[in-house]
Amino acid sequence: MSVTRRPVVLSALALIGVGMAAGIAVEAPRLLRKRIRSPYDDITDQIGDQEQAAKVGRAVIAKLGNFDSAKVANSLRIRKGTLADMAHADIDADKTLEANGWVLPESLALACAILADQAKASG
Amino acid sequence: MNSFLDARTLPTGSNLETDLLIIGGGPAGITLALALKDSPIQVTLLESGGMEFDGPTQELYEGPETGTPYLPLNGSRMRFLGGSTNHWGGWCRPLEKIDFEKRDWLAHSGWPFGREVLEPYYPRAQEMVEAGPFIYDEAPAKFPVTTLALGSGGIETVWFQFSKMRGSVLPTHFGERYAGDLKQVSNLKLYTHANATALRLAPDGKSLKQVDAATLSGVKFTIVPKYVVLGAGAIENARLMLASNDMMKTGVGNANDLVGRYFSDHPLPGNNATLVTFAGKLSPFYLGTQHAGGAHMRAAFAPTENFRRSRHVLGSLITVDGGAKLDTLGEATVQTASETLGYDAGSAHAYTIGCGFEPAPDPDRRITLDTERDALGMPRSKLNNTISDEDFARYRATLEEWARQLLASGAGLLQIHHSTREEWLKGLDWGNHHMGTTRMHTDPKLGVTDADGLVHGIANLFVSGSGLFPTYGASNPTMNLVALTLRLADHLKGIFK
Repeated sequence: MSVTRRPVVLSALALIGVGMAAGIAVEAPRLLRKRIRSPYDDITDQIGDQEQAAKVGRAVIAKLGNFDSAKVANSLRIRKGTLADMAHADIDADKTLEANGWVLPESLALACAILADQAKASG
Repeated sequence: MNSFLDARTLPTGSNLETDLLIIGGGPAGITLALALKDSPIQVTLLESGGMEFDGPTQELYEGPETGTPYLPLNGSRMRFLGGSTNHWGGWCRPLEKIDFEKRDWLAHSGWPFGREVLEPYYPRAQEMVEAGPFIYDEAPAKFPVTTLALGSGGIETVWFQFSKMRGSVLPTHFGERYAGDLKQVSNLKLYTHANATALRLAPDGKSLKQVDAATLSGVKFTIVPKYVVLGAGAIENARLMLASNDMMKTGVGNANDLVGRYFSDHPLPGNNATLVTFAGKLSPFYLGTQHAGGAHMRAAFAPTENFRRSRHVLGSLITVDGGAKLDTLGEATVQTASETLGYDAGSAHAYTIGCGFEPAPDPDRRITLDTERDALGMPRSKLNNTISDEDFARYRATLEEWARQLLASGAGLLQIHHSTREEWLKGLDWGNHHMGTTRMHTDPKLGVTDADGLVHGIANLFVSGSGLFPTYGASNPTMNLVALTLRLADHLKGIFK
């Protein structure tokens, strides 16, 4: 029995094609997510899905009332570590904020609020 | 042999003599009568109802209410043999050590003895309520179960046991379950349809000389006892003492205006939180009763004693009531928090959270007498119910710690639904756990009875039941009041020795 290379190559290409399509299907929503650009990207870019986080942030702002992104961002910037580090430290220190009753680490809740505030500002 | 007698067949004007008169055939009265079998004490028990529910008898419980909305007084207890076990849910759990302690930060707190005094009576109480082997928080060592890994913190998994289920739903109803046993007690006469209507004091006011009784059919009779035990429930015990005011204008045993005060129940704020677990479904033990280790078991969450002491919160038993569906904000919160904190929430599940919690003792939450009278001519009970903002705040602090602990351990997230008083009160239910109207205290100025349940100043009048609880804990009272009654039985045996 003779084996030609052509079907093998075609099969390989098809598999690659299927793999790429699947990858795009999985990754596209993330790649196409709207990023909320702001002067606070150093903080907010540490959050994966900014649109989802902005929903949380709106509830945080509703709880806090007045909200000043610049002031809050400065308070976060003087702390050490990543947003995740700050969030874990907040949990240990019992520093939490609520978003419509959802209890969150204070730093994460504030970062979400910055996103919501900037999304509103950018229209 | 049959020790049961129908008081409606007694000739009016009958006068009965007995060593010990028990007023009320609920869990306390039945426990006491059975515990005294084979003793030399001749016991008479008066039960207002018969063996079945009867509308006109139940109506004797009606009464007005003021203050925080509560359950109808004729709907939160049952007036026939077995008392309120005729409608209980069978939830059992011993009180915690801290529940007995006087706490400087909690006004009016503390029992006149510690849990170690009740400890010897819990195994027999467990038998009476038919809750199987005494397992409770030893459950994880007794059978395989995966509890939610909360890590260290103020909240832990605790365990209920359940009174024996008959068929699929009913726990032990004391009247139905123990009627046969009671009928075999040779030193007992149990009168059904017999209502105590007055406690009559001796001329010196220092002891009871007689109890008046009546049936709804019009028979009136008296009992001359050496000793009396009130076991008619926290509300009725107080009502009878207050209404017996022919000699002492404030009522029997009420020289210090304490009878009826400190009434309590467990508030049940349903759907007060949403729990999201990140790592899949909770064990079915959290969601309902499961049979394991020879018992009906259910897991719940509760504040640890250390947390209660350090944060000044009271008892609560937090239950998982069922599945929940997250809204868009809930989904966004789970995604944002889990991704940022580095937790895998791919198998997240959401649950509705319920609870029963302990309010602080409040002298203004009280039973008094109404001007209206019932069919027997007795003043009706009147309840002024209260619950303070601090009561809600203490439970909320417990939820906040649970939320923090869930985040710290990576076990999940918590949404707390209520913040304002109005939110807490909306749909607030109660446990039908009447406690506290005849609280124990060694000081007559601070309690109606002494540590043995003997009414201060009245040499032969005892009280039994959860009305004695000075502080309440979060545990369901039935098994605990049965343990306390077994202790009273030993005390009475000592008196009659």
